[in-house]
Amino acid sequence: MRGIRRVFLAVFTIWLVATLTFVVVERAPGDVFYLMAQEIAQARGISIEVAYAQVRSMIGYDPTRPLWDRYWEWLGGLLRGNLGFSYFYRISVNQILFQALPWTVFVLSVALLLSFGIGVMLGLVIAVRRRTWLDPLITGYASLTDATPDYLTALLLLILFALNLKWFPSKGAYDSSLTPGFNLPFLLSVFHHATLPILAYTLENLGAWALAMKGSAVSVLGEDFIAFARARGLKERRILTHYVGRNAILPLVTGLALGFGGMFGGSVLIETVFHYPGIGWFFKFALDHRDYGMMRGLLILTTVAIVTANLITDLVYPWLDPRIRMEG
Amino acid sequence: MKPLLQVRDLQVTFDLGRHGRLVAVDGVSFDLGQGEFVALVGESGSGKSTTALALIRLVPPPGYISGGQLGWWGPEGEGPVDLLRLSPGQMRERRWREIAMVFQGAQNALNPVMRIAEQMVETVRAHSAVSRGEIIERAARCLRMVRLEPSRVLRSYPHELSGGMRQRVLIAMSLLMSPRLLILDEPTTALDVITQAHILEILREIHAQLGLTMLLLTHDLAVVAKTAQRVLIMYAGRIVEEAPTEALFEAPYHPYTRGLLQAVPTLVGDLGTKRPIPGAPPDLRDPPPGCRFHPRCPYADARCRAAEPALEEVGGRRVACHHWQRIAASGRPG
Amino acid sequence: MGAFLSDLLHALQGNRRAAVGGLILAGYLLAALLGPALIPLDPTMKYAERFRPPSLAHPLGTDYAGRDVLAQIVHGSRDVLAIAVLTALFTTAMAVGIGALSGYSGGALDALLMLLTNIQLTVPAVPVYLLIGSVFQVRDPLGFAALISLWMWGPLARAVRSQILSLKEREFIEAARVLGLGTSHILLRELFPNLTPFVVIHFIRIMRDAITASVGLIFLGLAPFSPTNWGTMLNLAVFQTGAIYIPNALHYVLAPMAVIVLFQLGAIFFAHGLDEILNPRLRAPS
Repeated sequence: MRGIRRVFLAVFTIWLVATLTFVVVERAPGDVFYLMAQEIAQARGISIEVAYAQVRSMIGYDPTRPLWDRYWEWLGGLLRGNLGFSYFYRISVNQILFQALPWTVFVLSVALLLSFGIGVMLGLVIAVRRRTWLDPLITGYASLTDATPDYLTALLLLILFALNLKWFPSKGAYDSSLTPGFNLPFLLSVFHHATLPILAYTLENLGAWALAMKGSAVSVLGEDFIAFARARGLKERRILTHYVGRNAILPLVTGLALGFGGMFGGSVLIETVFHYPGIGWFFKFALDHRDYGMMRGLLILTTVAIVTANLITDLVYPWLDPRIRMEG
Repeated sequence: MKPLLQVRDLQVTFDLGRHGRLVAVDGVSFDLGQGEFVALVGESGSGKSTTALALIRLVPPPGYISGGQLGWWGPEGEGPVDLLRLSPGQMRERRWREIAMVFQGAQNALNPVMRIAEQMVETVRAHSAVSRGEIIERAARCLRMVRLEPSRVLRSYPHELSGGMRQRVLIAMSLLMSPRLLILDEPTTALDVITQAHILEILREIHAQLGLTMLLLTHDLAVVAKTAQRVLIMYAGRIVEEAPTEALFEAPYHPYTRGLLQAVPTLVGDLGTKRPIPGAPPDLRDPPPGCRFHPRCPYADARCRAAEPALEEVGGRRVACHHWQRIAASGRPG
Repeated sequence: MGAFLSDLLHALQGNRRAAVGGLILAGYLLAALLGPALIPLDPTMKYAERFRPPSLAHPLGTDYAGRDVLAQIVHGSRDVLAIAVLTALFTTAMAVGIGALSGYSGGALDALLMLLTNIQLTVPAVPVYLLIGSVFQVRDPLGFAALISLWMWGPLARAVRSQILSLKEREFIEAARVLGLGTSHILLRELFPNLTPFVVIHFIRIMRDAITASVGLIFLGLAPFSPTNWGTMLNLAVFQTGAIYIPNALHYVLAPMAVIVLFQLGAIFFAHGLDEILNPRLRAPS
């Protein structure tokens, strides 16, 4: 029951975003396609009418047809996985996007795991050892990163480690002289290029995870089952991992998908700063070239990715918390 | 009877910062012999739970044990060693292996995300290297002793069991290491009357079969009557009376005990005879001068307000009251 | 509201963190209101004085065209703060409206509004801003604030709804209902005053988020309508003038970053301190 509702909500979200972006782009002022036709006419030396007809047939856009028809046609394409048409490249955006998506997902997943993992461990430690120097240090760090927008963190890392110290490259996803594939130099190059973007997200989110975990762990520490575990003579280490940690992490897991979504949104700025060829970088590219078609496709793809992440969290959560499993 | 535990002048203090400090357990002394079934009785806030937690050295902060000795004898009568002088590691090893305690609030005493079997296994593994199969077998024996169906219970999560079942799981778990002392804090509170009776019967059976020492904490003298051989009455952090169960019910010496007995609804009499003690236990940050019970005591006089009565030995019993002879003479209340 | 403000000022004296945060925010407000009159902006380009380090004449140095960075920061603060305050006003109005309607009405309307809120919280804001902002060609702070408030009301709406739900259960609302007072009376006289402290804290958070978002979008190149907006300064430094590659020009990149972080810290301290003052439950019971 719960599962069906979640799936419905996910599909509804994607549909709503798709429809709204369709409307927004259709309302774009000025006929973008007419500009395109002008360009083609000049480049190929053909008349503007012929060029305009070409553009229309190329992208299946005909302003004389009713909006409703075009909407259904477009939605039908979307259902078959066609995310739309790039006004700049004049091809389907699918090709571009499915090339870019893995880079973004790779960087975000590593960063999410790192910041969540380290943050949760730090939060657990400061929850148990309240009166040490670590607690104010992490609280202060969390305030500072909360105050620094992620793109500024990225910019600082870029200036310091790429441009001044030159430890890491300042653009690209891998060294272009290498052949992409499953070989060590290429993989090393991929990690070398991804280090700064990953670091930017990780540093930005670490403190928040640590504070969330601290709050959750402190409340778990007051539970009866902690005292009872001590009475049973369990070792402190086991109590910390299997009792405090395992229970305190549960409310944070639901936040994971939200965190993933937030990072996805921030990827436009971060990937632009690092010239990293993921979804976000193409968004900036589309912005610079007023490529509404690509922007629309990117926004829908982003929504699909986040909704999927939400669904995965919903599926994983009952597996972690048996009390939810019951409700089915 | 061989001695097991000798508690002397136990004192537990809670340091509440700017809210002051309170002595929750104040100079408590008593003995437990091997194989005895003793009840420690008092209202909530009397310090009985804190006393029990002090015995396994798990008083929660900001509380701490501020004085006393806990003499502990070995199975062959060797010792005693003072439990308060053991290192934290040595003490951890003795918990559950020698002293097990079933907490009040059993509803949340189990880890909600682990199956009962896992919690049984980890409990034994914390103390000895035993194979999983052997532990499960042992756990099944203990579960049958509390009349639970092992195959079903072992693969359940805590929330899949009823309150009474969870309480029995805890008792079964406490038997895993065959401890020499089992402390039970309000094991029947928050359960319905039928489940209560059932659990008390199980406890009696376990005591009879295994011959371990039991210390039962309760606020309810009706529970005591069905189980314990000897009773300790605690009020405002002190022991005020100690007597064999029968003698105590026959003739209480302390006015507080007398009040508690009056508060017990007799199954035969009508419910109207239940009379709770008027007033509330004192604020231990600022206990009343003299006898701590005097503000609630019908027998109190000038002497009670001025001087605190000592806990005296009187014919195999102990009592801390200036007027105990008068009260004893009036016999069983009600 | 007047009584609330005087209570607040009194409480601020007792909370050092809130006081420091409040002082920082007041400083920014003063800079935005009075600064442009005190520090004139000289737009003439003097390439000979390009990327000068901080000095007495130019406390934050000069930019790629030899112009005073401090003057640009001060003039830009007006633009940045205007967007922040307007966004906070719009967003708060929307969120309180949606949250109150949802919490008060219940039923199908509640379910629908919460569904929309859920969607707002799920779909990330930056791509939404970029698409809508570039299609509709935002040109001024007002339009920019409208754009940002479009996708920022979710958290406050949800919070207002749950506050309303819990306030509905309290006695004084029950009493008002028993007395036969109308819905609008209950909302205006009983519920909203109880929400005020809570909304004030969110107002500050929204201002913070609005600055992060607007500076970021302008930094990316969306709607570069103000030449002194901190986002425009960053955009010029990173994408247009190559200042980030020039070690001498570091002050030019760092100046807008520093003022953004300082504002955010001030807002965090102030909001956190306010929270401590207004929600005594949060204070440690020790």
